[in-house]
Amino acid sequence: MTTLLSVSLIVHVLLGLVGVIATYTVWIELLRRTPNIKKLLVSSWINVGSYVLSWVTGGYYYLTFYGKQVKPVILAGPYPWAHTFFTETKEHVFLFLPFLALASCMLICGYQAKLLEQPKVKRGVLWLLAIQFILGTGMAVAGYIMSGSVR
Amino acid sequence: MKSFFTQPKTQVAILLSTSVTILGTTGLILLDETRPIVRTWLTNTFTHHWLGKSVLSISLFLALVIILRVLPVRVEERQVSTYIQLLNIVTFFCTAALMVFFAMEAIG
Repeated sequence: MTTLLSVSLIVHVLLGLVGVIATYTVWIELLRRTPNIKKLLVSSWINVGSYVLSWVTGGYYYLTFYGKQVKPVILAGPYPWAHTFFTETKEHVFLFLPFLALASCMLICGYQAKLLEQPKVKRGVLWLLAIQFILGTGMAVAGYIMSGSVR
Repeated sequence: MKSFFTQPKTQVAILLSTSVTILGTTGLILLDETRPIVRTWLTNTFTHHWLGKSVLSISLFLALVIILRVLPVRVEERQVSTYIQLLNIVTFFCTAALMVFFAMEAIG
């Protein structure tokens, strides 16, 4: 693996984790009685940026290295399901995350403090964030399983 | 930026575009996995099927946002919560569908 690929992979993992942490930060802050609006906005944009950049860096690694070098090793090894289920699910469900992050970010930018006066919208945003958090955490776990199955 | 995002029409455009994009992407993924001709087309057009799905999902999202934003349809603020619910439901079922599909592929 080249240095660029190693860096891409590491950056992809770190950005994904930042995205999950940012999602959680927004969710927890929104649950407070008086959320810090600036914290909500900053965390929301970090959420969007992390997932978009994770998409690019992970995509580079996946397109240039994983398919030819890693996938055959996993499929030939004792845990082929690590690719057929975890990689396949991760690489496809991940496509939802940047759009979901953008949608929640847009709602928080639009409503800001008014979210507290709109309980239905606030509840919907909380669920949207919870879904993002679960999906993001699932991505991280799947990635961990994938890397473990190669060793 | 704040006034653009505060407009219910913008919010609904983005929410509905996200829902349709997730639905469309899920459909494309399932077609790609079950119809070799789709995989061949994606690979030939975009050099890799996953890259094709990424490009098409972004294109679909952007096109829908623009179309829905400029459509001369009145949008009420009270509709926003409904479209958030729709997005949550669509995401849940599309994720579940993909997980079931790939689980069956892994088992079978």
